[in-house]
Amino acid sequence: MLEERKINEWAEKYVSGRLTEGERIAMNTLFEQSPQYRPQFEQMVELLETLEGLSGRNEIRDLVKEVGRHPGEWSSYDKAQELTPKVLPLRRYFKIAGAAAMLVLGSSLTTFLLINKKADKAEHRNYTELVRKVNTIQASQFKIMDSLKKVKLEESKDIAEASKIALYGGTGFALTNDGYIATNYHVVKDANDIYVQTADGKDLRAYIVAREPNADIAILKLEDKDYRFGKVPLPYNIARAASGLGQRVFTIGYPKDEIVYNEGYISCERGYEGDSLSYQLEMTANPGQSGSPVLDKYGAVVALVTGKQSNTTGTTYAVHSGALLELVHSLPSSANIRLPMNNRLNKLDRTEQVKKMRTYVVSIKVK
Amino acid sequence: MGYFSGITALILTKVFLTDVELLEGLAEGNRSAVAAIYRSYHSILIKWIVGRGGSEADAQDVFQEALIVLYEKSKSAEFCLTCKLGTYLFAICKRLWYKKVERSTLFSAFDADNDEDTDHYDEDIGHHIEKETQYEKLENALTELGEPCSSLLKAFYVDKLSMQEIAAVFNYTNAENAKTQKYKCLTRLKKIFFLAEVKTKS
Repeated sequence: MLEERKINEWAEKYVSGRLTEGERIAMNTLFEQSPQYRPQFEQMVELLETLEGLSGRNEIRDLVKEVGRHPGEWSSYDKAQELTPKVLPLRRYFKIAGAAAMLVLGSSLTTFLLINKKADKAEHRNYTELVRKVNTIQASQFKIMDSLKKVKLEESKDIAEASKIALYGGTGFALTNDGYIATNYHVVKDANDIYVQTADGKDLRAYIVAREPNADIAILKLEDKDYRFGKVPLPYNIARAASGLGQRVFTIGYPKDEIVYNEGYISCERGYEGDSLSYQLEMTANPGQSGSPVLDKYGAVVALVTGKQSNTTGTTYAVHSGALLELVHSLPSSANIRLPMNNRLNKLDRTEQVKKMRTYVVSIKVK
Repeated sequence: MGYFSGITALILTKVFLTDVELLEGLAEGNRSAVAAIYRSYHSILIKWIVGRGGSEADAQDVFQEALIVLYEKSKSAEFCLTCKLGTYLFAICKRLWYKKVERSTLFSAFDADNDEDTDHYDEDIGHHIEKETQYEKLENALTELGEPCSSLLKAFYVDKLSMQEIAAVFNYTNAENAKTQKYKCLTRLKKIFFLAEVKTKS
């Protein structure tokens, strides 16, 4: 009887993975002395595992049925979209109320930035993500709406919470002419709202479609379905194959409010600390250029700028375009991303190349 | 404030998750992952089954069963998805549906399976059915075990109550007493469970 209870206890610990080394040895000696206990133990383990599985299976079965009973959570978007027009009249109210809120927001933002600057200094990292903090806030309806909500919450909370209101900026580039954009995951990861500022100065809302934190890539989609980056399909294509050492590359991005061009070359086929997903480039990059496309001399996107080495200038890291393609291909076909196939930049000189593609590169603002 | 939640919900429902994220979500029992799988594959698979003479309710059952198969797969350690999630779900649904039809008409007119990877899917379904029968057996054994044993074991293993809580609910003087009782119940359950196995084998 005593042995039986011991066996039960061992079996229970074994199944939950809490069996200690000492117990394992004691168990094995018992089984060697009296092998009749072994099947008892094995049966117990099987029984416990079935019990364990049963509870998990019942939970998921209930969940699956439950979700099935609420088609509202997953059926067509049409119903949800019908709701949006109702939001419009309210915006007028927020426009006025928002102005007052912006004052409060502005002061807390400055305090946060000051404190945050100090905190940054304490952190000695060699890798810097190239996100730009944006001080000037453009009053857009949604921002005001959101800040209103925030300020109410923030009044009682401490400064650490205020980080959520901070504005950050990065760069992104079009994957399709109808609104899919690639950028860095770290640009949008803490986003409450994402705005895309296009080359013609429009501020458009976007949402995250897919993300791959390991490769630091995210895919966004503009909410405005009718927006087109240019009159013609994308002039550049996205390279499948990896680029070689010494390949001349250039990038355009938004380290400030105007578009900026930089050029350099691939200096190492591996990125920061031997990261095989990215390249090391010899090229200057500034905060705000995270997510900028890196193109080879033929005008194919070979990588996305992700960060730079903090203690030197001119060493930049960029993630392979292959990782981006992989993420695109993992999406369901309903996302309907048709990647650019043709390259119309390969025979042009550099200024023409940049001129042709600049409208497809956008500034991304996040809060 | 109602409008805010309206907007956020709208944004959230539009987000696509990758196959891996969906599987991880399913394994953890994450509701939004399950909803996302429904969103992507429910209507097309239901249409497929209904188009082959199934009723709406049958189709619903098959789809939900397929999700359970997928859940069990996602739980197993060695599992890694070698095809798209949609392809896998479709193959499983198809087989479950054929099995259902076979069972009701008592003859197998459906050997028209021209997939290359057939064994692999059938194996998964075989595992699933095996597990289901085992769970069923366990549930029968629990019923046969009677009260209070069956409730006590369910409270501990299914509802994951602690020994103290169980002692309180089942009126044992202390946790140690409840533990002794639990072991007794477990030993009895084991006997019934494995006796049933011997019976079914012979």
